[in-house]
Amino acid sequence: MTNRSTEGEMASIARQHYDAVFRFCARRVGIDRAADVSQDTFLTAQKVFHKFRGESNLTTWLFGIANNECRRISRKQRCEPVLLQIDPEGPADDGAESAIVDRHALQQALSKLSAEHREIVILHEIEGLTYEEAAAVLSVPVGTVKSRLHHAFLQLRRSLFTAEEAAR
Amino acid sequence: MSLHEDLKAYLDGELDSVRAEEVKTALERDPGLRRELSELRSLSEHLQGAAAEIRINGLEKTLAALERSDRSRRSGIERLLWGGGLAVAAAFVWVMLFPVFSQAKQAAKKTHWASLANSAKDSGDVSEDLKAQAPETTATPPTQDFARAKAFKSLTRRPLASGKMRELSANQNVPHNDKTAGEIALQAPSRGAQGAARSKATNAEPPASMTPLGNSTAEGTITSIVVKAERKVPTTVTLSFASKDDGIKQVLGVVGKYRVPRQIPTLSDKRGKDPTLTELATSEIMAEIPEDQADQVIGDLKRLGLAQQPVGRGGMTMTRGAVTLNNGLQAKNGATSNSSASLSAPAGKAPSGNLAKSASGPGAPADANSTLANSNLKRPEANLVDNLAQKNRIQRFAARNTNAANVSSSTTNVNTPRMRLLRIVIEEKPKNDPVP
Repeated sequence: MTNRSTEGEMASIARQHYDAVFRFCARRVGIDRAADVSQDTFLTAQKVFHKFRGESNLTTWLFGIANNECRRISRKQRCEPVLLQIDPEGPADDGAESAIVDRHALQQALSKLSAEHREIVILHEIEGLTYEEAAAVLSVPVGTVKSRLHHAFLQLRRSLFTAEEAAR
Repeated sequence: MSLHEDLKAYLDGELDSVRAEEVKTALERDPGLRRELSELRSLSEHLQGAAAEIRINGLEKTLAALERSDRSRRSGIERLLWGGGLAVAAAFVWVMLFPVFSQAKQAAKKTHWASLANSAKDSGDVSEDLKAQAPETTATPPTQDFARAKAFKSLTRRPLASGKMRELSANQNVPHNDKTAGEIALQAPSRGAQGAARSKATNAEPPASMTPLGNSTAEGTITSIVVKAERKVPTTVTLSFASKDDGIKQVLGVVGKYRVPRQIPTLSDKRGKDPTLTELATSEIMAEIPEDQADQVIGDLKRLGLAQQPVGRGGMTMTRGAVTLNNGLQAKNGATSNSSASLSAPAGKAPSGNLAKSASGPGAPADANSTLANSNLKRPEANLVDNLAQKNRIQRFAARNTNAANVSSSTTNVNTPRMRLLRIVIEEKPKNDPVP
């Protein structure tokens, strides 16, 4: 693959996948840093694009790079864990007031998760990646993804439903 | 893995069919498990629905950055390719043309030096002694690359190999006006006939056995003395040794710099080339040097053979290190010269400390083991020795060292007692000759 084709291809890939990468980064490092981290992600992808063998999904590959970039920037800038951005006006099953409370509780419960559990929850529940894709992004076995998800949800359930029962 | 742990995977449809069937069966039996599944589903739905929509920005910046990065990378690669290509092309041209240039240069040098040597032989005003020593037409020309004086450093590692100073003997037969291709006369203004007559009278002894020229092309030996004279007046003359090592002529070291009050007629002038650099084809030099400088020349010659570390700017100053004279000249710092020396002063003249001490062999008087450093610092008058006794010692010393190759040098007065004609002949030392 020539450099010229790489350039055109990477621009096309960026147009196609920028939104997903940006969202992924925003949920990991915050919206303020998401643009920079996304840019770094695509620049890195451009440099190492010749190593991409097509064995995995391109999105997964980009998320993997983005994940590393997020880790790097978090380590470098010593960022505090970013709270999951909750839409306060999103659709709710029950009444509007209880939904807002639930979302706030959910945000608090998520913030109590470890970094590993939080990132697997984001990847699977919010970004919609399968276990296998999440495993590829995090460079861990599928069993690890499954285990982490189980423990993350166990902790979330304890945080949310215990508080809910206590409130009742 | 327990059913509880597989419940989330069952909810996500990530279990294989067998395990999924097992979980399904368990769910039908266990209401607690069903409640847990319900909570997991609710939680998952909350998470998926609660995530706020994120406003995307920065795509254009990212695209611009990608373009910039690619452009710089491409230009870097192009520069690399261009540079590499040019280097390869230059190397190819050099490889192709070097033999041609080399052969042409060699041929030109041979022709030039052959004509020079022939003209020297044919000149009528050359003394027989010097004429016989004029270079053959096959003589290898010394280097013209005076910049190789950087090889001066190598002097500290390699003494003057087999170049030997055999003797400095009186030679009153060579008139100071004689100039050949193999000599250069550094003349002061004439002091008149009276001075010349006195000079002849005081130097009645015939020249000592003149050392024939050795094979000056042998590797690692002194093959010529390079004289560099400036055109301006007064002239600064620089004497230095040159050697041929692995086919490359190198300046082994600078003997010294001497100022003479008139311009030097040099070979360069005769052949109409660069007058600032004259190289002698032979290993003999005739130099009429002011009296007060002649001692310094001799001392410098000896010091040069001792491989002392040069100090000062331009490497012109030689270290006056601790040096003793034995059969050969030896430096206490471990640099041992395989040179031997025998020197004599002209009758009636006061040899310098160098002259007197370097003439001394192992059996010489007590001052034989004095250091050159000390001797160099002494005034000539302080080192007066009996010339006759000195010559006898020299002859005995030379007889003991017949195998050693030598530098023969003669000093005499010509025209004026204030001038000294210095003759230095370098010859090759036989190979495998043990260092004395």
